[in-house]
Amino acid sequence: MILYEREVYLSLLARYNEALWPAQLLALLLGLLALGLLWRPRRGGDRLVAALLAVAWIWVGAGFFLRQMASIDYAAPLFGWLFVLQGLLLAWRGLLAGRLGGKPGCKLGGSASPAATRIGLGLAAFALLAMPPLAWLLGQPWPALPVFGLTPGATAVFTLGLLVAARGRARWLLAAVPIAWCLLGGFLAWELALPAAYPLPLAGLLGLAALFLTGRRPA
Amino acid sequence: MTQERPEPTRRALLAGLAGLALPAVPGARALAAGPASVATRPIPASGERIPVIGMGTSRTFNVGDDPGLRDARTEVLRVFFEAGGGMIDSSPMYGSSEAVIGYGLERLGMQETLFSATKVWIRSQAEGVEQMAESRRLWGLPRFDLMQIHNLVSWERHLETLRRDKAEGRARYIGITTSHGRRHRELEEIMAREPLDFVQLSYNVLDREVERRLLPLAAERGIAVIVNRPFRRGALFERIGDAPLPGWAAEVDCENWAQILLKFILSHPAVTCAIPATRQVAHMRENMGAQIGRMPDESLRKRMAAAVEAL
Repeated sequence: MILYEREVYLSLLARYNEALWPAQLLALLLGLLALGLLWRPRRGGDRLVAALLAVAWIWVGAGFFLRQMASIDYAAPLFGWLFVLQGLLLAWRGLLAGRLGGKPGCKLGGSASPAATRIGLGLAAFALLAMPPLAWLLGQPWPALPVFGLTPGATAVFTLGLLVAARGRARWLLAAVPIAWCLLGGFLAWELALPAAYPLPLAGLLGLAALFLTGRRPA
Repeated sequence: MTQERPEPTRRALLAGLAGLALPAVPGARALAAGPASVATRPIPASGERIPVIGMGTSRTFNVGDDPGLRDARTEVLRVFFEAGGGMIDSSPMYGSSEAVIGYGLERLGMQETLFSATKVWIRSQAEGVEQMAESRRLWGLPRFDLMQIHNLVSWERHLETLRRDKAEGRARYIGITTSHGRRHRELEEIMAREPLDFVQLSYNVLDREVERRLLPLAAERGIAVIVNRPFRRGALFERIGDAPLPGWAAEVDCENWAQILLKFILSHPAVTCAIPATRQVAHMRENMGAQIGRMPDESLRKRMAAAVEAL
């Protein structure tokens, strides 16, 4: 049961985005950089992308859930710490061990199947470039919009996309929270009548299916 | 999905502007005349009378720090008190609701008719003490009129604290709550053996299971009853849609469906008050109109239930 209403959530989201402006532009640029590395892998790209994702998850956990949402949602601290934990996991696997997907030094995109790279790129591009305007078109007023790196849904879908394009069993560990959030976020969106977030469960299931199918290929 | 209640009719809005119009039914006339004529019921433990319509704050008052939304809820509070409202019920579970109530009370000034009710909602007894102190701070009150144990959480431990708080003046009455129709058997056992001033439970024209055991037990044990979810969180309005008011509505001075639904609840002899929640001034005026005028008898109660069931 959600104990706050749509207008309250949108008001909170708007004030949160206003307070952070122009961090949205920086998040967009960094997201584009990550997409570029997915498309054209570079040496050290894995570590850079993992660092970006880790910062994004820790920020959403601390800045969005623990600092903002906790005032209206008693479950927010739980979500906040889960996001922080996911950020630490990404930092551990991707940044320190250099294994976002599988073997040390594996390259994003190039190490997975072409289909997985395309699906992953599609999911990440949807989160980064399509979710904000879609939300606006579906009635969420500016600046109460989802943003990769600042709000949970876009961050979860973007991360899932990158993991689909990576390789190895570690992807499952790192994809668990993003998939779970996609499903839960869809439920919350339904309860709050936010149609722009209705695709979240679909993205989560698509990512799960892609992980499963590409995971069967020999590494 | 969020359930929406239909906007009040123009006539109802005019009637709600107390004193500016002379509506055609006694309920609205009495409301316009001021709070002196509102119905009250005694708390069995003391005989103290409280208005039969209170106010819930779950969801509706959880608006965070938004100054505009906080001011809008303060306006709802103002209308509530102008119409003679008494009980405001909240809980630490409801996010920022307690802080928003405190914000409103600070701006309106402390109201003579306020009957403050909140809950303790945490497992640890020691943390419960801290939580209740925080609630007093948020409301800006030295003590609560009623402190309840939320949904039976750690009720044995908190009941000890509540009894001590009552003896030492930090709460005037103590109680225990449930909602959604859950854990009724356990609540019944507690009501049967523990001395309580209040219980809070869900009851409405379609969810009537409490009529069989809990309401008679409350009457027998002298426990005041607060009814939450009188509109099933708005779902009853969705069911009713734009159905016209039945002809018998005028027999009990009801101008709208909200008042019919509330009077159905209030006409049960074991009920002390109902606590509908709203974020709209117009809906608050409709709700408060239910404490005015005639109440249905048993025969009309049956017709009320049949009418809603048939929709």
